[in-house]
Amino acid sequence: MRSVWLASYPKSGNTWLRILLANLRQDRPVDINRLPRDRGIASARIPFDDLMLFPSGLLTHEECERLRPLVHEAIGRGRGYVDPALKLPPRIDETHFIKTHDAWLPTPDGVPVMGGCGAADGAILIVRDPRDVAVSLAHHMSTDLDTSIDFLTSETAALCGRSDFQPQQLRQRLTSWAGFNASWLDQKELPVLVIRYEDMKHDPVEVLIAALDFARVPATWAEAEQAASFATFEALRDQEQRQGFREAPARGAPRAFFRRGVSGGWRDELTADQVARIERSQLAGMLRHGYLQSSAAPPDRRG
Amino acid sequence: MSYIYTAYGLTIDSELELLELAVVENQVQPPDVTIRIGKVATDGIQGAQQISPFIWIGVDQFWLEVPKIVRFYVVGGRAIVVAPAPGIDLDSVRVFLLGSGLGALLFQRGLLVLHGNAVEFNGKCMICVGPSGIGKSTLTAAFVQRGYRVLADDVVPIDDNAMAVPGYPRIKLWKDVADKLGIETDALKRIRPALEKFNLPLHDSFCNLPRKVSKIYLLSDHHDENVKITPVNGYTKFSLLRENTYRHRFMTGMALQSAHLQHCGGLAANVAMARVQRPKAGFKINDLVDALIADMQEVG
Repeated sequence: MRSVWLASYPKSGNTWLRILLANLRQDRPVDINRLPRDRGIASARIPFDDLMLFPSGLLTHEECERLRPLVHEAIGRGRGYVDPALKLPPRIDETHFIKTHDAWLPTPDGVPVMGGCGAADGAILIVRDPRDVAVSLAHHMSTDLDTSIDFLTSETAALCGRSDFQPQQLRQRLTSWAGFNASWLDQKELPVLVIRYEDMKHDPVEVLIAALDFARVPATWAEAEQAASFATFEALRDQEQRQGFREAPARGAPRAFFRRGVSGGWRDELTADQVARIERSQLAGMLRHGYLQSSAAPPDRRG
Repeated sequence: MSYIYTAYGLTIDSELELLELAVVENQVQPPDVTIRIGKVATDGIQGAQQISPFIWIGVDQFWLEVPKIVRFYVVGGRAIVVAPAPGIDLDSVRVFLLGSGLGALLFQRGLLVLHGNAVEFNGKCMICVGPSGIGKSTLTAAFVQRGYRVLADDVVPIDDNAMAVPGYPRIKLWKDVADKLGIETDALKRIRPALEKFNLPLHDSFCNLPRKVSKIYLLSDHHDENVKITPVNGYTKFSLLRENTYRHRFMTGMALQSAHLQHCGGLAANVAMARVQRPKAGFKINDLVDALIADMQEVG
């Protein structure tokens, strides 16, 4: 059994890649509401509680993090103490794909929260222009753009990090957009394949083939083409409009998950000051992933 | 020095003070259960089965470690040895003792233990089961606010006569939930120093006698804006009871699976069951309580 992380900062196309993968070798489009939930994301509370048999809800965030490597090792490999009756993570052939929004960080004991090479064979890191992420994030979190930019540039940002109620997932420390991506790229335990949202948008078939090749899942061009045709942005948005999407934001007014799906949409939505704030603080990461500064950037309206 | 308490129909003689439990005065009979502070092996139980990184189970024995907090050894449905980790506060020890520790002991005593709450209704009771975080404690607290009495929150043992057995006279509530329900937390005690989760004592809202189970609800959420109740019949009832048994993997090592299947089968045959779905966005707790009360009135 092999295991591959699908790691990304939120709103970077992780769900889209999961849906592309789920559509491989299907003869009709996969129902977006039938994607695995609890087994499909590393920070889900249920697999932790099922393995430990004492509740994560009675532990602090730090205590949970200390134990998470054991969970990832047991579940990612489908071995150890895992009850055979428990549902396994989504997989193609012999490879599990597990989504994560956790930055690659050590526990208080100094081992990777994600469990190192004992828990997975590699990671696919999905990266998206932080200016587009800021816009999408504001929509998803139902906040204004300045708040989403504060979040995206904060080195202490986390998901599910409150301690006055029990979120459905365990805390995921994100750090900033640049910090998140660097944490995965600079770790030494796992090989990483970087996929850019913009490339996925431009040529989903080629990106899917690359992802499958990295995960050592042999697939033909025709199979990848078929999967991509089932998972175009328009097809997913239509599915959501018809029957809703259970992963859509639950708090605040009802909002779509599949919203615009464009690259470069930030040009219409961010002020020059907001763009400058992102570019100043995330500069190193943006250069590393080929996102040009706005003054030099050519318009990209492919989407 | 030890304290005598009652919970789950048992008298408990405990060396550890258990502030959450009802105290028994003038106890003359020997206690059903003893809780002692002592040494517990650091490496599990020899010859027993390891069912998780920190749990070993034998037919009559149970060993659990919550790293850096506590180790327990539970034996014969009668005794629990507690070994607190160095420097740990006793509140943290208690919360795992009253949950996993006593939970394992109830299994050893042959009870069917459901993961849910039990609320008294017309001299009988309704039980709400469901996964952690779905809102069971919120619902329990909301029923208390409407004047109903509670038998148990989180862990509900059911005896061979389909009677729910009363547990602890308290509810554990997150700060956020208490705020939403208008419950003041300033005077409440935290369940652990580092968690904003509080012990809400039930006082007169605690029902300290067993009650016949008249209906079991499986609580979940959905994207719809309304509360929806759907009857459950046939084999589904049985499998839902199995799935919502408290820590059902404990039974693997206790050789209790066949007794458990019998329990679930017996209860499924005699008790009405339904799924109740609440809106995912904006809990709508009052709608949920109203819907359950209306449904229970039909059950009678």
